[in-house]
Amino acid sequence: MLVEMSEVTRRFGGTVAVDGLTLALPEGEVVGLLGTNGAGKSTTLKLLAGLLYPDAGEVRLDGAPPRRARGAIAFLPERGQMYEWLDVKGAAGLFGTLYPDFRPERFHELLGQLEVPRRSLAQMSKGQRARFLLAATLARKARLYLLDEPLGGVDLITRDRILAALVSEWREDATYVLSTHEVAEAEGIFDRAVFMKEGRVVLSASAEELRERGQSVAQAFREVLA
Amino acid sequence: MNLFTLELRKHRLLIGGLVLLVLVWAAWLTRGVVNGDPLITLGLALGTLLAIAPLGVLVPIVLARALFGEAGGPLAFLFTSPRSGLTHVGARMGLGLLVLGVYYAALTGVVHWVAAAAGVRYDAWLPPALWAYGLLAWVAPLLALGLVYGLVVSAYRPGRGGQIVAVAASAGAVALWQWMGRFALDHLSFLPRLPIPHVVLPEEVSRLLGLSNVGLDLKTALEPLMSSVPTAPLWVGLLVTLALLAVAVRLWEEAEWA
Repeated sequence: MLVEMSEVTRRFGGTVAVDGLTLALPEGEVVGLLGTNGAGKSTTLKLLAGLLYPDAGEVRLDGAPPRRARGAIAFLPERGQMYEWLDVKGAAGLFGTLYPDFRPERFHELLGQLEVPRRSLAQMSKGQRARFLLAATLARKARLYLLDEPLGGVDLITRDRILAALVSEWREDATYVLSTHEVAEAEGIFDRAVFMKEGRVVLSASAEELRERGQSVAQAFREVLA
Repeated sequence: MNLFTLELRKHRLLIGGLVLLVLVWAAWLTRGVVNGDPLITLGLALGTLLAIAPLGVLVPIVLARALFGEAGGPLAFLFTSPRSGLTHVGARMGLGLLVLGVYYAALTGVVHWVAAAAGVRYDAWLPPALWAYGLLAWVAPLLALGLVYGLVVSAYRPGRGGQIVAVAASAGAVALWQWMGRFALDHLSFLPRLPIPHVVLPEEVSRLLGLSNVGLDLKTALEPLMSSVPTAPLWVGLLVTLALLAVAVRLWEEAEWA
């Protein structure tokens, strides 16, 4: 298994955001991390990215704590922000400095594929900024991609472009974890769906298993989380 | 774009402000020298330097705070970078020291020029020594302290309770600073010392003070009081800076992004 979380708990004051979560994700899977608002999806992704530390339990990426394996993790935060003055050239330079596995030529290809204009972030719309940061994240050659709501707040056409970019970027030696509310649109790319409720995993099933049960991911979402 | 140029780009307004401040001040003093009042201008230069002395404390803190003041988003990309905390903190500290080094060098250079025009003579090593002394004993620890505070505020976003602790810690830091200064002077006298420099004032000043018709040498006046200048504060400043930078690097490595 590439990623292992065992009995992970994370609290914020009196609120338990993630409660004894155990999860194992193999290489080569696209995993949908699904749940209603406040289910603990973003906290789980930050724990996997090493941006938060668990109060209890362990998170391991290839046997190492995420903070020590930072070079293998590409994380796109939900409120993805970057310096407003940054343009494409500056972003390529900055991401190249921050991440040794950043591929500038792939970044430019992804920008073209996602139809992102070549101007500064300050002059971009919300959807264009989201695609710009997604392109920068996917342009890394990481082992684990953590994408927090990459489809949130963007129009249908943009969603299709983002999903197409994700499919084109798939590699069998990497794992992709997406949290999203747009279950119906994204379910076609999921190999596995992990349903979370109140900080716990209530169901983890492969798309194939769901199909055998005669359910789509969206139907399972309604059944499990309603 | 490397981390150093990133910081430079982020803080161009602040740096530009400092440049403007020095330019306006230098132009004002140049007018005084050109108009034939170099001695009065020197008095004004030293007076204004004293008046803006609190700025000497404030500027490193403001700059350091700005260097670590991040909006929520970019920090996530910086924290997830496999580059070491030392690289990130080093880039910020390096830029801060460069900016403030040039700033204080410009202040020292302008005063040196006005003093030369006013006929004040002194040892050639005095201006660079003053600059280095100020930078190492005063500016570098303040900058490092500001970096630690800035990182704590940016990464941990302390609540009201944490802010009260920070204010108390600031007051404690001032007391600690005084204690360290006294400790350095009382117990570290074995460290190398600098000679008292020759600073010869123009004859007009001596006549004005009713002392003599020859230039007054401050070295002669000061020698009965002290035989040399201790460098202990400089070494203590250096140690404190390194300790604070080690704290900042550790904080960077451990910081959370909620």
